[in-house]
Amino acid sequence: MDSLFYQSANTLSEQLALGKISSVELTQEFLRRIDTVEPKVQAFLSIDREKSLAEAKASDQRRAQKATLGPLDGIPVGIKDLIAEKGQPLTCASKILEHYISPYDATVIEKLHAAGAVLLGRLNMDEFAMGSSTESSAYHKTYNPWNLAHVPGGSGGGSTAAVAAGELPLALGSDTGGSVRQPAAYCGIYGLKPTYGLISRYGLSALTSSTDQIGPNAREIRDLCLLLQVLAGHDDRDSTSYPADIPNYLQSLKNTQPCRIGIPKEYFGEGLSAEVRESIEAAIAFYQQNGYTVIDITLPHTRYAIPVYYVVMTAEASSNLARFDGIRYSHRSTEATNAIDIYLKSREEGFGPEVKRRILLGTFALSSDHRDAYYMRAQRVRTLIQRDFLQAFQDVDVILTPTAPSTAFKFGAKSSDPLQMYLEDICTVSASLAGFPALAVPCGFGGNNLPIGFQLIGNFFQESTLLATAHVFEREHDCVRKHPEL
Amino acid sequence: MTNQHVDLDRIMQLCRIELTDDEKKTLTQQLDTMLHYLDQIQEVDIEGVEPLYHSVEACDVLHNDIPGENFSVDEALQNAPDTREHQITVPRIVD
Repeated sequence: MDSLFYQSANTLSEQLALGKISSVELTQEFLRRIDTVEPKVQAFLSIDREKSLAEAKASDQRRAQKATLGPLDGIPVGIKDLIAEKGQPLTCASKILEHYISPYDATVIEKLHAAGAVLLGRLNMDEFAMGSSTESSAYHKTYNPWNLAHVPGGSGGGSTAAVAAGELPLALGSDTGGSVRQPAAYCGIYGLKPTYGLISRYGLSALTSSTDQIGPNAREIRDLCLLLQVLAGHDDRDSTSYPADIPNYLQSLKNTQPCRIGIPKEYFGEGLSAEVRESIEAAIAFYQQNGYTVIDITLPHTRYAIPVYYVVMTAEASSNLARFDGIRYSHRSTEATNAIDIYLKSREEGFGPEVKRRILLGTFALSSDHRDAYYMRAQRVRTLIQRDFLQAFQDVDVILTPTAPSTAFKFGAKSSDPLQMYLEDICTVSASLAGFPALAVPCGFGGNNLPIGFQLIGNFFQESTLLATAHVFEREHDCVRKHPEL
Repeated sequence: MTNQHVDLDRIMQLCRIELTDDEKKTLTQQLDTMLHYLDQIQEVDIEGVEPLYHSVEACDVLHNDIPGENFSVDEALQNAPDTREHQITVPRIVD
């Protein structure tokens, strides 16, 4: 039997329901686990013990009065530090928001409160979610729990490291080009980027508005369902939120009818490490042996996904981050003597090098002389990328690819070469650009005790198919039941 | 290929970011390298292809104009770097 902190959220929920443990005891157990492993992992940016224990106490009181709010009531959840929670810091891991306190709750935070979740703390990330290793956080690095010499991935490395290390059963991340999925693969857990529009972005600090999606991280598929069920749904306050019918995700796991899996050759070419290829080919073979139809497919515009993404992403980010001007909120330089100086110096002092680089590149792509050649052209190529997928979904139900071309790299291996870091997103950006749901699934381990994952991409709002397909794999493989030694 | 170079001084002015000379030197080189990589999109035939601004079909986003709860002035100003009498202070703009 695993320690309490490695029990699934569903199991913890059952134990709460049976009265075997209280939410206060559970929260205290996770806080003790955090005290033990956080010096090594450093997944959190802030932890509010008093507030967490008060929320846990309130949950226990509801349970005593037989007024629980559902299966998530009393379960600790961590929040990536770019989702607004009233009264809590929201730094986006940037110095420019060092002292910012959220004046309101994001819709997902309202939903978690309404479901009775205990919000334990704020999780580290790359500054403004720009990065694939969590190294660009302005505060500190986060360490991969499986091998502390390696990065946890990014931008949501705090969320995935905390869940993998048993500091939390569940966490929220946000995925713009792979920030929930790639770190999930590096840390050996699940990460779901839902269909664009399934989860409200209200209260999510905007990076790339046309691809940003909040997504859950968990160690088990059933836990992912539990959290997704609470988060999904239309919200009037987000104009891109979609009025989709929300299925019962846990129930949908019962659909074990084998489906058709597409294998796009473009994801298995040069650059894919031998150990990742081997592990993913074993997963494909597993599905074949279990009656799934595996079909070779082609997504011919895949090679343009990274350049398209980094035009669109930097353009939208340069626009979104214009709000950090040192006037209304955020850091204001004490060196400034006039209004223009406030902008120039506050942004110079407040933003880190990667953020500046992307703002500059995005400003170039949107500038009047270059807008047609870069931003507008990229948006047209984006259409072709989406068409490739829509064509493929005529013949297959899900598409299986690596989540990342290799296992987690060592600290510093890519931070001096921005382009190499951008190529980390090569397997994940297409689903973001095209809006499709995509799920990172842990499937084994490579050298240096580092996890490997595959990715399942589905058609719009087919999260249930992805979850059910991954669940079939999970039941027959024990990699998700292994935990790092810390 | 466009063989474009980033005019860093102009871009810095547009996005209101100041850089040191060392940063400018490094960034000029990095941005040109990136731009060269991004230029791969120039080779794609996009004749007759519409841009994809919204990946999921956009739907009617109008909603009823119903007043809701909002921030108090104090809440709205709690993160302002400098305030006076419920207003954000800035240096003199007009002489």
